[in-house]
Amino acid sequence: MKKALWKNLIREIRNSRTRYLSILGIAMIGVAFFAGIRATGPDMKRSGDAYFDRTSMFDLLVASDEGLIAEDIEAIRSASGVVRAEPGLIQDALLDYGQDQSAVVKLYSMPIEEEAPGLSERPATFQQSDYGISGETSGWLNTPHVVSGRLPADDQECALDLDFAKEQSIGIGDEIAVSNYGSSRRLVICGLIQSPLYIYIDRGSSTLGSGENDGFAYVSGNVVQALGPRLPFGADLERRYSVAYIMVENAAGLNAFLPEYESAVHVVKDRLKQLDPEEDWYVLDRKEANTGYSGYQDDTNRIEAIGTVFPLIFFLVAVLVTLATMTRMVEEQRTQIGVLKALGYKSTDITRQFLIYAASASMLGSLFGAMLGFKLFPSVIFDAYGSIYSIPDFQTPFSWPLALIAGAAAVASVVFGTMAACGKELLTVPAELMRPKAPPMGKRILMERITPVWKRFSFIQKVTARNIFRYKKRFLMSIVGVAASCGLLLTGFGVRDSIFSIMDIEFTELLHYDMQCNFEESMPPQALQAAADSLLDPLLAVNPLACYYGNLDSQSEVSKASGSFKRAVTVIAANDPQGLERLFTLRSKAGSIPLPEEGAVISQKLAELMDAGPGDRFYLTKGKKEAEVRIEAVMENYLGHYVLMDARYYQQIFQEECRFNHLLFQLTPAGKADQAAVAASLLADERINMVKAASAIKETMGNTMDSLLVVIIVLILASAALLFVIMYNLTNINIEERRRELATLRVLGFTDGELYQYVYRENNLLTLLGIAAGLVIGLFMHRMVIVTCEIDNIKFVRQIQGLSYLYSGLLTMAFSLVVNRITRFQIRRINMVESLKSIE
Amino acid sequence: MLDMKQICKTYNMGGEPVYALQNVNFHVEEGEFVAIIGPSGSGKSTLMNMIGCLDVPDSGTYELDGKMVAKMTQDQQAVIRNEKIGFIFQNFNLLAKLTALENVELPLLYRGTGARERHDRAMEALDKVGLAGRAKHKPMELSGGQQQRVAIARALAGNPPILLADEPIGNLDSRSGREVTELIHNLHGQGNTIILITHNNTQADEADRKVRIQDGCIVSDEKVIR
Repeated sequence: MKKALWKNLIREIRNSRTRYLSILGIAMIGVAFFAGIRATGPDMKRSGDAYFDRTSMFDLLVASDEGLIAEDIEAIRSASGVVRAEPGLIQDALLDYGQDQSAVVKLYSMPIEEEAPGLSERPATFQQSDYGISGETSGWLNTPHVVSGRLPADDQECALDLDFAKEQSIGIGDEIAVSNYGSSRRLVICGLIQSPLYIYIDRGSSTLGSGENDGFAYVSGNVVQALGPRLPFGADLERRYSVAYIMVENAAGLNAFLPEYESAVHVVKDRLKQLDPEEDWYVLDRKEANTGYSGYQDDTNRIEAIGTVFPLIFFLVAVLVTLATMTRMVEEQRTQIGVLKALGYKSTDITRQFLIYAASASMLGSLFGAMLGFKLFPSVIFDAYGSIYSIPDFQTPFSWPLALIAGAAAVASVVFGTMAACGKELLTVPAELMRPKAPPMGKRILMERITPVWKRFSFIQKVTARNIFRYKKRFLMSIVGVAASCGLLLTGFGVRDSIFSIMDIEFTELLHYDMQCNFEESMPPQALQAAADSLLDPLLAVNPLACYYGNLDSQSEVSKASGSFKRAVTVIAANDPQGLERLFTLRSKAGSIPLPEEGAVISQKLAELMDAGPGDRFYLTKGKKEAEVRIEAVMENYLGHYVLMDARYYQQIFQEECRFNHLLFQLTPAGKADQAAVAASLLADERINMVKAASAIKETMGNTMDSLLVVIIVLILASAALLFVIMYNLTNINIEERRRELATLRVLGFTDGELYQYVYRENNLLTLLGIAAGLVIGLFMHRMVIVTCEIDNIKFVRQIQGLSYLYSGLLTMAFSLVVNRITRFQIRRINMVESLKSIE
Repeated sequence: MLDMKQICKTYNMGGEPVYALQNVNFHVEEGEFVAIIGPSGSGKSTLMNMIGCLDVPDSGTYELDGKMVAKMTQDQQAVIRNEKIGFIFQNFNLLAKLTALENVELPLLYRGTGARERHDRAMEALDKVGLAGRAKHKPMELSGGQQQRVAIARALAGNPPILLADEPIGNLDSRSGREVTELIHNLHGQGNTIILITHNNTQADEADRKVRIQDGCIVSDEKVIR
């Protein structure tokens, strides 16, 4: 390029800083948003995978109810594709801490000093109880991440789940007791840890207590063994392990959340299944053995889905506005283009100048945007998910491919827009260019033919109506900008409605119990009823419902037949339908549902996930027992999965007596005022191992949804920022483009007020049209976002509340009025003489 | 030097064809000072645009310095404009963001003239129009007459055989107008070919030859007798 043009370009940039910065800014926000949101899913996957690799999380797990012996471990090790296999012990236990407080935990053994396989090789002095901590711990599978303190070194120490410890205010040095099967061990807390086995806030299920596990702990194998009934196994003197953790060859090199990893692991999984002729091994992969794992994958996929849909929408809007801006710039410089052409400059030289202007702005913007986006968006969103998932060391690397894609898209669209804008001007002969461009002709519009309407219009109204049809392109662009803005706002408000309505509907309309407690031992229904009568003070608690209550696994297919996905569901079986209906509103769109004598009522989200409806069947697994359940009806419900049935039906499908273990009840106002006292008096009874208030569940659920809400707020704020820039830009262009027209009107005697009206009346009309379009767009975008971000065990309400439509519309209008206000000075600044004189 | 035959140009104004030029034959010899005169809307600006290769005729032939230009591509015409013609516009058409000197350097820059020579030639041109002292000023900092003189310097800098002036004093006060007119005469005296477009009879009378155009046709073409 010729040097004078460079000089001219640099001057041009300096003189039109606002325009240059606005292109830069739009590219920046667009790219930051696009690249940032897009990177979040992969960043979460990468960070998760890195965590799993660093802690050597197992790829496969073999478990057997009979236990695994040393030969089994050897056999597993010799299978091809297995690089490492370690035996381990797992045991559910009650954990007593503080003053009479207890919880349900899962104990995991530290690495165990192994013995050689084969009875004959065992030394004569062999001590059966010796599952002591191996000295060789480097790189052992599922290494916990030690947050403070250290791992246990002997049989008296325990490293405890950090989240659980925090919640229960247990610290290093505290003493706890773990017990099960009549044995108990006192331990000292030596460290607080996170484990790759527990990335999800939910700690899974347990065979003890209410069936819900509260936390986990790593202890010496000797401690785990001491609390178990199955170890040692009667006369057999050989050591038995509960599980073997397996690391698959080359699997660590693959990203665990991608299909390549799954297929690599599945080959080995099938091989291991064949090692076991009696078919009593469970060979499970990470997804099957770890609830948080698949949830995490689902969440990252969900964010990836948002990352594909959402930023694209306003990337398009950003491109549109850049195009408008560049078109305006080229038009503004018509004369200059004409002069340069007259002096003999070629079209390509002149085009290049605009291209470099636009490309450099969008490139710089893209670069800043990528730098900002890759750090900001993934961190904010991951932070929000931090309340559900604990994965240390979140990584937000700068992704060149994404940056290049987003940057290239931004630059390409800006360059394309510029070429389109230049093309028309450059084909024009210089003589024409040096003359001011004739404004588009005002034409008779259709409305004028509707005489009764037209006649009633004031002069300014007539002008507005005509102008709208005169500058179709710019007006269309304004409408699209406003519509996108309004649509995004409505999406935001709508998602908020969807999230918060479920809390309201769930806890005020559908669930009516205030508290529940669980009995350690189940008993015949009459016995529990009697216990309830004696335990519950009628002044504090009313309407008790005795029932079977358990967290079981549901599957749409029989478990061993295929790897079909397991979901934890809450099963409630009662023999008092009226009592149950007092505490649960069973209803569907068609009306209320009576508790059937045969078949079960399941919650709608579960039905959706299983793709099943009334008349279909699914399977429940309770320990080793599997029952086929017929769906009688699907009920409205939003949080968690429920399977409700009559006790007699339970008996029929499980082929066993339905013993009760649970009480659900309401609190009187006095009881509500002192929930802690009610809970304490219940816990004082030895038979009761868990008391939970509905308000506490509501709170936990609230946390989960808050994290999703943060994501939404980020999306909305970013959209709002961009759209504000867009509206400002379009109004600015509108005024700049019409300087001469406005100056002429001023010469004709229009006052400032009338000029504002002249411009802003059009703006307002367009904003109204844009809002109307935006509300429709928003309705669809909301639906799309809700469907993509619904969490597995939550169903969002699909409806947007009326107020949200109003808010979105009003806010968009407010935006537009603010922009009008800000740009007023530009109209005031129009100098009649200057604007009407020469164009240069 | 310049020879137009049967040039026609039609514009479309609001659906109505406007015959701006009809079968115009026009010839200029080297060193001549020709004034084209006509009322507003007569087609004189269109004729000037044709001469300056700023617009293309619908039909007819145009030979400039031995080259047929009417059929050239836009880029080839750009070269002609750069080398053969110096433009002086009614509204100056200076680039507001460049200094007087830089504006004058523009046509030389395009030719790739070396920095030293470019500067010297531009200064020489500014000196000729008496504005050497204002080289660093931006157009907005100069009076109308001074701006037009910068424009003339720009036209001179490339040393083109033809100077094409479109109402050069139309936007100037009478004193500045006289200065510019004088300058143009001097340039003619130094051997430049000058084509002057004007609607001012007095100014036209100062040329060697007066061509009158009306309704797109040349109605008279006569030597000026002083």
